[in-house]
Amino acid sequence: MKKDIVISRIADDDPSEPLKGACLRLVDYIYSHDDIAHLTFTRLAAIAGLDDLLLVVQMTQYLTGASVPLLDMKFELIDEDEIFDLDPEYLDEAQRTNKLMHPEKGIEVPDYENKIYPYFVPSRAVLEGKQE
Amino acid sequence: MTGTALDNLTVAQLRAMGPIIPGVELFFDRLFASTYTDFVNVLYRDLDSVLSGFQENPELLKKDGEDRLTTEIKRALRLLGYVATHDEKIGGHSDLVVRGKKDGFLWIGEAKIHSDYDYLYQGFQQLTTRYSTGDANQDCGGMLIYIKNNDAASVIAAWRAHLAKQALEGYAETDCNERPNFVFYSVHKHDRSGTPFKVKHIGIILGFDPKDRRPERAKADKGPKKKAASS
Repeated sequence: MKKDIVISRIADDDPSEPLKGACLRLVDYIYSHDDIAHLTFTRLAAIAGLDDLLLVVQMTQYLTGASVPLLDMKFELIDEDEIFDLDPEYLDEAQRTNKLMHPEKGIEVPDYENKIYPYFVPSRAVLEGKQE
Repeated sequence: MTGTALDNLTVAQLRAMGPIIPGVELFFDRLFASTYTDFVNVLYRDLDSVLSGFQENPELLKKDGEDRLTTEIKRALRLLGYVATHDEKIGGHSDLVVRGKKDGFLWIGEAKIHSDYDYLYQGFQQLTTRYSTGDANQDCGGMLIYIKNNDAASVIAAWRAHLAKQALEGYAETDCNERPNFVFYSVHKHDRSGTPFKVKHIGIILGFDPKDRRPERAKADKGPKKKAASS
């Protein structure tokens, strides 16, 4: 997905300010940097020029959605100082069963929602758009 | 807000923000909607939330027509991450088309400002015989009924009775637990697919007829008349 398409979709949806400006700043950043591998909420807030947690979450919700798929949301499990990437299937399963199985140990992770940290990467559509 | 607070944001903390940030409560349900049923369920909860916002400010929507109201719903859904369109060409110009992240998930809504029940039925027929195919992963739809007059509950009750009287094959209806006086579900055999097609009928209360200032106005109106009569 080319940058101009993303910008045009945001313009059509017309989010209220300051959300709209923040989204456009993030789009600029994503399309002008390569090798972006791990964007935390803090990093996104800094790039987008937001200091309001609620707006940062609203922005990620919008830009990980199907209408403007700029980012993919990923998850990592931090358990006893060890970090494990979680495939979406694990969370999908956890969502349905209310249980998370440890990706390596194969045992149930207690209180798992307090140990899972979301982060973001450019979506496949964006990566393909950059290569065109 | 501190950087640390954001860096340490866990799934549990995001969920806890649900009551504070519109839409966030269902963030993960939306993200992990892997079946059509999941998709429709979370869409209905999002629609409830969007429409509840409409109902809180009916005075602002008093002059808005069907297209304007539906465009606002579309916009709100897109900001929540849905692919939502208004007036998309699917068998005709569908009022509200919502697609999921997964290919093939489709929900179509027909919007009508209530004027009479034949008009609503015309919309129901558009939805079920013109726009929808009834295929798998697209066998649910909605009637968005904007009610600008008072007594919305009576409108929905009368519409429900009107619909039940039509000769729809395999017709059945069920109550909505959350808004039983304003929402119900119907199912009937879809003409084109021959399989059950489920419709959520949503009454949106947009009546706005405040009476708080009327006595003053009436009093003011009476004044000059009396004067004229006495002169």
